[in-house]
Formats: sequence, structure tokens, C-alpha cells
Amino acid sequence: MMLDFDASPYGAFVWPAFAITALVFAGMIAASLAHARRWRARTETLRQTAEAAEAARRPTPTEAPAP
Amino acid sequence: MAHAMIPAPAFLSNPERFMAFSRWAAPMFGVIAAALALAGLYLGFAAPEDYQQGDTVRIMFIHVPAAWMSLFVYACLGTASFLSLVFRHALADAAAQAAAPLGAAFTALALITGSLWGRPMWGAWWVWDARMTSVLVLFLFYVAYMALRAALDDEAKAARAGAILALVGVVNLPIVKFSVDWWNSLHQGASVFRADGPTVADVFLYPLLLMGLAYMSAFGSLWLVRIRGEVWRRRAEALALRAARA
Repeated sequence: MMLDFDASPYGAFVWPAFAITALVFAGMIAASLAHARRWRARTETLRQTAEAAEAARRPTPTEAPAP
Repeated sequence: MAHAMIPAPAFLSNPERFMAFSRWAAPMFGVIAAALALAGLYLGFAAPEDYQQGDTVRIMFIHVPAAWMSLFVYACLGTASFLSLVFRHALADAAAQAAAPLGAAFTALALITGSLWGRPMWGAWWVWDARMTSVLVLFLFYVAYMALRAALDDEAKAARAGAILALVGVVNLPIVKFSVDWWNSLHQGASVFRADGPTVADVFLYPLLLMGLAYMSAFGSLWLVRIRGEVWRRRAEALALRAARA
């Protein structure tokens, strides 16, 4: 099958429609991935901070009371 | 209790299971969407010009699926909002919140590509036709939902107010769908999903259906990615709150 890319005399309407669709899809993909990655990274950072704070609160073996 | 009477879908009831499922399902749907879009675009540009629309018929392969998705995504938003309101489940609310920007994008695409088709075929960029007006109202419901969610700091209040607004907007879905039957409209009636079968020639129908499935798969993939982002955002906010209290 031959592909027909000659949209004349309607090229001024057909190609912008495809270009805008491609841009909107690219925007949806980029925004969705960026949103997920940003919050995943933030969650990991906060989790590590919380674990470090928890470890600092835990008594060290030398400080532990004798049985 | 509603919890006991109506079992929530299993994947909605367990965030951990959802995260495990979406980890592989999101990229899988993305690959399926790309393959379907390539096949649909190939058949779309191999199709002959329409005897009335000329080459503008190719805009239909990206416009009609966007219009289908604008309704389908709102139906997903409405269903998730209903589940959020009834079950008070955070994952259902995250699903509703994640669907809104995608639905708004699909609706904007339907309006813009429709306008680019309408100018050469109808001689106007925009007419206050029942279908176009009701789709514009649908777009405004998406925008209002997102604005309402953004305006309220309290997550629980935002979820409840957003869910109620989303459910009010569901009334608009049959208006969009049947506007061409209820009022005089420049738009034609249904030509694909009909009880007596499609009236579109196969050479146009197949690329249209392939592109419809591609849009659907793309939405599936992006929806899952955005819900995952919402789950992480809520976890991050819970961790930040716990750290602030410690």
C-alpha cells in the first residue's frame, strides 16, 4: 500500500492537527513521568531521613541498660 | 456498611498490590499504544481521500478517538469519584485525581482537531452546535475539578468536594452522546457504534478503530503512571507530617 502524505489543498489544517496531537501526547507523557519520578524521589528521601532519625533515637549498645 | 455490601475491585483495595501491578502494566500498555498508533497511522495515510472531505478525513483518525476518550476518561473519573465517596478509599481518590488532567488533554485535543477539521469543511472554526457546546462544558468540568482540588488544602475535603463535582458532571455525558439525536446539529449521528453495524467504509473504519485502541492503551498507561505518582505524593506527605511531629 502506498502512503499518501500530500494533503493539499488542506495541508494547512491536516498537519497542524497532527502536530498539536503529537505535542499534547508528548506533554502528557512528560508531565506524567515527571510527576511520578519527582514524588518517588521525594518519598525515598523522606523515608531515608526518617530511618536515619529512628536509628539515631535508638539506644546504642553501650548506652543500653545492663540486664 | 457499604464496605461489607459492595466489594471494591481487588486492585483498588490494596495499594501495594496496585503498585506491583502497575509497575509492569504501565509500560506494557505504553508499548501496545505505540504499536497500535503506528499501525493506525500507516493505514490512515494509506487510505484514499474521502470523496467529500478530501484529505481532511485523516484528521478524523486523531479527532474521533480524542472525542471518545474525552467521554471515557470522564466516565472513569466519575466511577473513581463514586468509589472514593462510598468507600472513602484513598486509591480511588488518587485514580480520580490522576484521570482529570488526562481527560482535559483529550477533550482539548477533540475540540482543537475538530476546529481544524471544521474550518475547511463547515467554513467556521467554531459554531455553538449542541455537540461542540456540550463537549466544551465537559472540558470546563475537567478544569473546574482540577481547580477545586488545587484550591483546597485539606486532602479529605478536596476529595469529597471534587467527587461531588465530578458526579454532577456525569449528567453531561449522555448529553454529549445524544446531543446529535436530541437537537439539530452539524455533527452526524453515530456511525461506528451502532446496533446495525458501522456505516463507515472499512478503509476508514480500521485505522479509526486502531487509533481508538491506541488512545485507550495510552490512557491506560498514563493513568497508571499518574496514580503511582499520586500514591508516592501521599506517602511523601505522610512521611513529612510524621517527621514534623517527631
